[in-house]
Amino acid sequence: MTKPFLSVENLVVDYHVPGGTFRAVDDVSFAVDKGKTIAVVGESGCGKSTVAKALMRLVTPAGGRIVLDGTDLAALSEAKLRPLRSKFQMVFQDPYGSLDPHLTAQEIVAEPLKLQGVRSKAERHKEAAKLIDQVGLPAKSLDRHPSEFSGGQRQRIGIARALASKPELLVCDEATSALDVSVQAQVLRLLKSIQEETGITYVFISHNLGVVQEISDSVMVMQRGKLVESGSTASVLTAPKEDYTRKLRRAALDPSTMRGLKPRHVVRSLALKGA
Amino acid sequence: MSLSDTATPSAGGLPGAQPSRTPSPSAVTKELIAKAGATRRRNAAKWKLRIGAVCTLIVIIPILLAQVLPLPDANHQDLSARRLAPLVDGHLFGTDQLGRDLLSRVLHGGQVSLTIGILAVVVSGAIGILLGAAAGYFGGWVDTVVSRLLEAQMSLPLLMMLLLVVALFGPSIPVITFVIAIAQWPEVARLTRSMVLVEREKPYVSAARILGLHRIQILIQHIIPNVIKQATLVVLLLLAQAVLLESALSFLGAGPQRPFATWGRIISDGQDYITTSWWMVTLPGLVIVLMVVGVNLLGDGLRDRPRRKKKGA
Amino acid sequence: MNAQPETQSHTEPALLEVRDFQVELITDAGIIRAVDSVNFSIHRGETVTIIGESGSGKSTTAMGILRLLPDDLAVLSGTVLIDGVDVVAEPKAIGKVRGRTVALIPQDPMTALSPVHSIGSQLSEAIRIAGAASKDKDAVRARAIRLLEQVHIPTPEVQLKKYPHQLSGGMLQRVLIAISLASEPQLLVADEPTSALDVTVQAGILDLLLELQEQRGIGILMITHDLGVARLISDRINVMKDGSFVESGDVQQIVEHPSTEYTRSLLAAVPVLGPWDETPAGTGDATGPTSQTDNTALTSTGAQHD
Repeated sequence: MTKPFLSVENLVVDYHVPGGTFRAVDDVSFAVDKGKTIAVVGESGCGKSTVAKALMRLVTPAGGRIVLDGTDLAALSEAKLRPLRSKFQMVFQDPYGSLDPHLTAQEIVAEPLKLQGVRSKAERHKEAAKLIDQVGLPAKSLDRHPSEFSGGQRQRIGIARALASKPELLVCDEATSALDVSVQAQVLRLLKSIQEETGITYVFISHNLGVVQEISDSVMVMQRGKLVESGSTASVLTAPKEDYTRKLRRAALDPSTMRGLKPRHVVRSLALKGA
Repeated sequence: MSLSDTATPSAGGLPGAQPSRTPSPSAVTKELIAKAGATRRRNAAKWKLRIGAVCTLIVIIPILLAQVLPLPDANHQDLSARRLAPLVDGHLFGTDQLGRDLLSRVLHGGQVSLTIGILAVVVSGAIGILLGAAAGYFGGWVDTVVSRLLEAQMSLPLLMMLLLVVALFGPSIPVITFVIAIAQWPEVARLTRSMVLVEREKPYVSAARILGLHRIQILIQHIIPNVIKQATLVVLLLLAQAVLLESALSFLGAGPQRPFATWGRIISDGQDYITTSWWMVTLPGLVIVLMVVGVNLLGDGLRDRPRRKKKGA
Repeated sequence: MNAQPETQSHTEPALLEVRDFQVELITDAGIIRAVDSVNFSIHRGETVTIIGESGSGKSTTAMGILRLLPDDLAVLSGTVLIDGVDVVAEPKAIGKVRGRTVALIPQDPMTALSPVHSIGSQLSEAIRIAGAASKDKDAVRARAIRLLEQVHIPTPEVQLKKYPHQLSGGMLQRVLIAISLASEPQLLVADEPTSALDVTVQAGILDLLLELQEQRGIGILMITHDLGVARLISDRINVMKDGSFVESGDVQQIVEHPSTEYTRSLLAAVPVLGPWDETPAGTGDATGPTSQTDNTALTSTGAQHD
């Protein structure tokens, strides 16, 4: 049995709030194999974004291990972590705030290359142009600033930037949630093709079960910081065991399965079951 | 916007059975456009810019050219031509109680006043932006120290404090410049700090951290370039305040000493003759007003200019 | 197809009738035709949805109909008859119907209420403006409590004193619906009422809207980008793109047999979840879908994130 590429064990993340600490992530464990995708699902406040931040070491976990390809990232100091950072990158939810507004698309994508040690500016820009092309944007995008792009295009630039570091793990924190449904479909296709080409591993944070079904091999469901259920996407979404997972599943409105005019029963049962 | 998003065209882009319609006539009339908010704002900004630029240039250009203009020496006394009214005997602004040509004094004095003002503003801008950005970005004790310093200074009566410093260190130009810079940095710092607090929370800053950039690198390469434009606008507006502060100091006798004749000193010298020779106080005062109003309008116009969005890819 | 196919003949006049409605915006970038000649109508007990992606003009249509767009920005033309009153031809006439015959449920519940006033005071203000109760403080308070009960908010007397930041998104949306009901409107305009809410909370809000429609026969104009929401609560759907309707028709017709490429691609882009095993695992589960206790009806799904 091969060891999983990413293994998170007993992760705990606390936030300091006036009046004490708030435990955003409470003893969460999961694992994902190389080249596969795990989705983290839950509603607002469940802690899934905090899990993403912990994986990226934007916050320091209060406890637990984050073992990526054999190395525990959770306890490393920033200095020891820095040379490893290129191995794991993130795509953010907000296309409008995730790109530096005063840089051009090319500069944004070239920046990680500088940190990789690519000294020549011409070399960096050439590589950046290649990446921008790989995510499906035309060459004339290179000199444009983020304000000149649509939401979907900005997400593509964000993906190109993340890929510039040649990461082995990519965390997508609600990367398609702010996009129109047709653009979302295009971005998901792009992510899947990148995974096929490069064998990159994804952790995909989302609240949208349909997207999760599209993109992930396994899924874990979170509620109020705790892990509720996990397993392969197929089994969790078609035969959920836990009440909360069933509730989420029932609340997902799928136009293709609704029958009749104004089928109120679809939501009435949810409204009646309560918390 | 959505389907035509990428370079790869989606299959069958145009809706199939859509019959072509002639577009309905527009209901927008010239009258409505003239009354529209966007038009009014754009015109307001345009006029502020124009008027501000004109006022500022009317004052600044002669000051810059003071050396080459055919004017009598600013300190040349002519006791036979004392307190002449404006436009008499070739003195455009008249003369003061020692027969010195007022226009020449105002222009040469303006050189000193403006130099002090610009230097002070540059120094206060630099200090304010750096400290404000540091306070906003690093938070913690850096923020505590800077913010308390800021607040302490803003709570002191400004003019009293400046007079005290001048009394201690003497009224030389470097001291005056420094003193005015110290007076103004809190406002710049406070504005920069709040802008940096907003930028700091944006995901592009997190993205830079994930890349592995050091915090100082993030501050200098990412945050400051995004706040500097708005910060420098405030600094421009502070130029007017700096000139006024310098005038106030000179008026009170704490400004650069003779032979330098700054605007404040000229007005101060003319105090005793307000009722008899009104031009000695009023004309330099009007020049100050013109410059301050001009710079403020210019700053407002630059700030209110509509952002033109360029068409995307 | 832009014309509304008449699948039902209505004997009563429409609550809302929109003909050749156009909204042009005067901006720095020029004149933008945000809404380009749209036609639709809403009768009692009907829900008509305008569905579109961002920038399609759907929210602008709703705001334009209610004359909530700034006068120095938007130029309206065409005909909008609200309960027979043309609000485009007579701009002042909107005051008679807005907040009375027609009410708005705004988009983001977290920011749609004043943060410095209590729920009770905002609800009372709506009741007084609507003229639906006498000026007597007790009568207004009683009506406020009744409205909160109608939207299934538990312990309404307690909630009246609370401030918006103390309530969850779902509860706030219910409060907004209560406010909109203060004048006993015949038409509700719901502008993306669930976009900012979690899916489980969304279900409760949609159920509430369907219930209100069943009980009172109100008409609903729903604005959304979510096809699942549209399919659930609409009688008819208008698909909007770049300011005009590319397709209009009965909801089942549009979802099952779309006739334009755009609608087809929009439907195709929605990730399909497919069927699932709805019977609960384990027979000892007392809270299966078939058991309904009356108590749970009062438990607000919006309260779970409090």
